[in-house]
Amino acid sequence: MDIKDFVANFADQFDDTDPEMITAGTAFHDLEEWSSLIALSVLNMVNKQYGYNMTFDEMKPCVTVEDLFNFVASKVK
Amino acid sequence: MSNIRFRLAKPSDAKQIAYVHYHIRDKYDQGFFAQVNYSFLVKYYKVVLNDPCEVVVCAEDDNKKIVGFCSASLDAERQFRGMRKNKWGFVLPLITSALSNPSLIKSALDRFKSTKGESNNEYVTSKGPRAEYWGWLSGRNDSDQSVIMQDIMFYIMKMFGAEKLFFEVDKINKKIFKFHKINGAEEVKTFTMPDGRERVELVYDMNNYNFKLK
Repeated sequence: MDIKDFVANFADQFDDTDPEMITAGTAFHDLEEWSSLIALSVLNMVNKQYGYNMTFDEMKPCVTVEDLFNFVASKVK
Repeated sequence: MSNIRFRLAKPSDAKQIAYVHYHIRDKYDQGFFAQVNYSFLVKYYKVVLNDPCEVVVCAEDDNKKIVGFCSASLDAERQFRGMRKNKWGFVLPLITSALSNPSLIKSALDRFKSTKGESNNEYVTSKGPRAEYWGWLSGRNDSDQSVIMQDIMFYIMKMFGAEKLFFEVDKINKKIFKFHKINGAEEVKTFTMPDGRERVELVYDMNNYNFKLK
């Protein structure tokens, strides 16, 4: 798994947020567009692109995009 | 981010739930329920929360303030009967709502007729398990938790025997429509409301629903 691709895939889930604003260190819950729709889209992206059926509870403690990446990477090894 | 606690709503929560519902119009202002006043919604939720076939899950913050809710009926037909039984209670809040928008009276009468199958217009699914409203106060950074709130409601509906859960979304409400499609809902049919809005009936197959809870 490559973090650069993961960040790009993560940023793809947003409609109105400039992808440039999203980096590995972004605290994604604080993004203005973060919502139930985006959260669900991210779970769906993780399932489809990385083959792991992540739950909302697993996503909740992740603060940055990198935290999310590290969690998913640990599950799909 | 505050801690959110989910629980089943009680009749005494009607005012707070009506408040959350009232503020759905901050983000989406189309349709009858986005035009009626707060008093109408309070009456509506008093009836809904006294219906034994209704499942209403609400989300409370640290201050015990309700910040979100979602609702569904195990028996839409029974819910409509309950609304008809309480029709006189809606008259005053409807009149006060109509002071600023007189066309609401006609809309309300037609909706009322539709609950008895006496209207030519189609509004909502009128039989069986039906999901209704789903709202979260805007301007909060914890609205993603509404996904969990909805899953809890779905789980309860499933436990009580709902195998298919029907609901409707206006096509122009693009984000919500997209949400349900990603979440696994299937389109049943599209119909046009009397005010010209295109509305899509969708259904969740509860036996194949992907719960996002552990």
